[in-house]
Amino acid sequence: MSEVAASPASDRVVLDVRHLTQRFKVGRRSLEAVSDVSFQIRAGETLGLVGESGSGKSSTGRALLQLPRPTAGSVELEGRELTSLSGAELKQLRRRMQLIFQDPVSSLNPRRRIRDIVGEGLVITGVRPDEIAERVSAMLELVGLDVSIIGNRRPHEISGGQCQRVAIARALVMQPEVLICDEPVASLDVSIQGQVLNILDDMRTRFGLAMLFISHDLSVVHNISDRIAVMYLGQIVEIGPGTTLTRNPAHHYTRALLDSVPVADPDREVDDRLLEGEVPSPLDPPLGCRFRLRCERAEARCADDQPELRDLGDGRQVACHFPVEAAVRSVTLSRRLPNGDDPQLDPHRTDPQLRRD
Amino acid sequence: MTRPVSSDRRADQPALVVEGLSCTIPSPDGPLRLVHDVSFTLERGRTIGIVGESGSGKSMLVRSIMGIGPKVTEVTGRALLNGTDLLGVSRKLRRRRLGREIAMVFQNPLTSLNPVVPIGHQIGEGMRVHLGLSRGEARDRVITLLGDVGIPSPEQRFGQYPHQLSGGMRQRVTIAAALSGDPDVLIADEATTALDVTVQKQILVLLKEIQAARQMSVIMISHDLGVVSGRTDDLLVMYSGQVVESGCTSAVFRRHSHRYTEALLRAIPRLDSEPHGTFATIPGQPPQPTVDFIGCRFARRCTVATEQCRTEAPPWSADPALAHGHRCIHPSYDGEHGRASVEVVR
Repeated sequence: MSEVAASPASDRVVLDVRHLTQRFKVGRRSLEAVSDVSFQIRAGETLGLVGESGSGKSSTGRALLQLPRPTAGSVELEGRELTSLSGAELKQLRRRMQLIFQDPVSSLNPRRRIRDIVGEGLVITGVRPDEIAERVSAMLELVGLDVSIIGNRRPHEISGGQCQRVAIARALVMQPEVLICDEPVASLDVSIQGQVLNILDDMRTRFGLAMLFISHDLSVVHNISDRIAVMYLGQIVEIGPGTTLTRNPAHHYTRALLDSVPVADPDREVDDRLLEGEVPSPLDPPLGCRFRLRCERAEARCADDQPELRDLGDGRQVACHFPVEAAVRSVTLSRRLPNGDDPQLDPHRTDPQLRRD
Repeated sequence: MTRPVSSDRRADQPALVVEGLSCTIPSPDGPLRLVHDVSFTLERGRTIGIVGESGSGKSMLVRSIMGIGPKVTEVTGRALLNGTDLLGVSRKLRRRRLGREIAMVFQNPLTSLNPVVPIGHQIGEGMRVHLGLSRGEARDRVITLLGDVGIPSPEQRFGQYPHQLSGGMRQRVTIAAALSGDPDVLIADEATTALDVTVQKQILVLLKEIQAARQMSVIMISHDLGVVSGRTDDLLVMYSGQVVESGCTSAVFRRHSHRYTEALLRAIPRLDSEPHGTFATIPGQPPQPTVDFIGCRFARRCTVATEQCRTEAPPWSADPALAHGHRCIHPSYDGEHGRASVEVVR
């Protein structure tokens, strides 16, 4: 991972998500899987969505596709509101948003041939058969598969990594603008997952895709994303440029996640600092900040007053009353560099919200 | 924590010595050797890590030691547990030793726990069988044990069922069950793989504390090099049923010699690299490990493989001074980098 390809992210916002909320009925109670989530993805940009199980990252991905329709909020695809569309209109627009799942083998129909699986979407949208064959073989070639070898096989006859590449070809043959990847490499061996990640990043550049990359694995997300959003119990707790978050986390949960990533380096001191406890039930999330019960920095204010996402000044937003100090300090430092004396540099004024009331 | 010292638990003897262990199973394409000639020694109180990708034979290896592999498996070699072979003995005799001398924690706690039996009884069952405790005695011991593995309010948890617990708590319960017979060796087979990363760390730290408190030996199996690094003393790297490299963990990481170990280490996504770089990968797939396989099993995917690699089985080269060895004809690290002479022992 030495070469760094220039990211072709443009300023054109392809996907604009505002105040997205998804509630499910569980018995007589309601579970808010996604609470007031907002983000934008530009053409050619990858937004990584990280969180632990039950954080609502998959529900967010599906709510974008209106699977099922979100309870509240808006999802705009190139300026078109999706939440108010009729079923038929939505069907037309679905072509432009494609999804890749975690388990490549079970997401492909075991009884169909690879060439038919990849071409099915084109058949449904009424493309001529000879054009379908051409586009299917061209797309399979782009993901490194030869249609003459693999075209007539069925999913169980090829490996897991190849199945995931077929799933990518099936999604991209529809020429979507948005690609949602839900844990696309979680079930692959480490020697194989790189192939799939390379293809995804290559396709993003080639087609200017707006990509939402959902994963629990911070090291993978760090390497493929331009920006990263961290979710906890249905809410985004921190969102911003990828390296800013991974090198200098501002939310205590982001920092705990990063501290928990096992590092393959025996020289590194194994630190046994632990994030205590477990994620509370989403049926009954804590009032105020949802992370406060596990947060070492939590105070009375965190219980009374739910922190809103606010700008830290380095392109990132964090929902915390008392963000990690190292992150705040680095922002003030970088502010000082361009213009000598920033009035905000008064140490008591770094951030008005940082002071305790 | 005190334990009765029995005659076969001598401190000067390694907890487990595996010698030339092989497993063969029949298949439509002829017999497959899923584990091929594996040897290692696990000293008391030490942790050995086994890493490998799916199909490398790491689970098969430990299941064969425990005698819980598929019935059709033909196992050869020796597994000396506290000095006595576990492989050649009758089922009845082996059963008496499982749990008391060696126990195992599996990947998915929901399938390894009985869904219709309260957890307290599941943990106590082993104690009553192995240690002959009464119901009341077992209950007290279980409650202490639940506390030891970090389960809050153990008295209340005693009567709960697995579905009432979170994934991390369930894994703590299976660890408590494994510890109930006070074993000398604990095998953790991908014990943290199904867990979230913050919970994974809680369990890894718990295992370390328990090991230190009980002077237990641990075999930690994982596909994740990050999990074994820093948490094991020695490391075996497995590929297609063989140990391709082994040694003290830091030596394997620093002086990795086998081309597979090298490629695997390079394929790990790292947090300190720049985003949008090219991910290193290993093209191709492992071969079918047929009994009559010729040559190096990694040769087909190896970038430096020669004709010799395809036609000759690579010998085991070991550096006794560093207790580090590998099975590669063209190692990525050898004597010319300043290491002592490499002798061929096998």
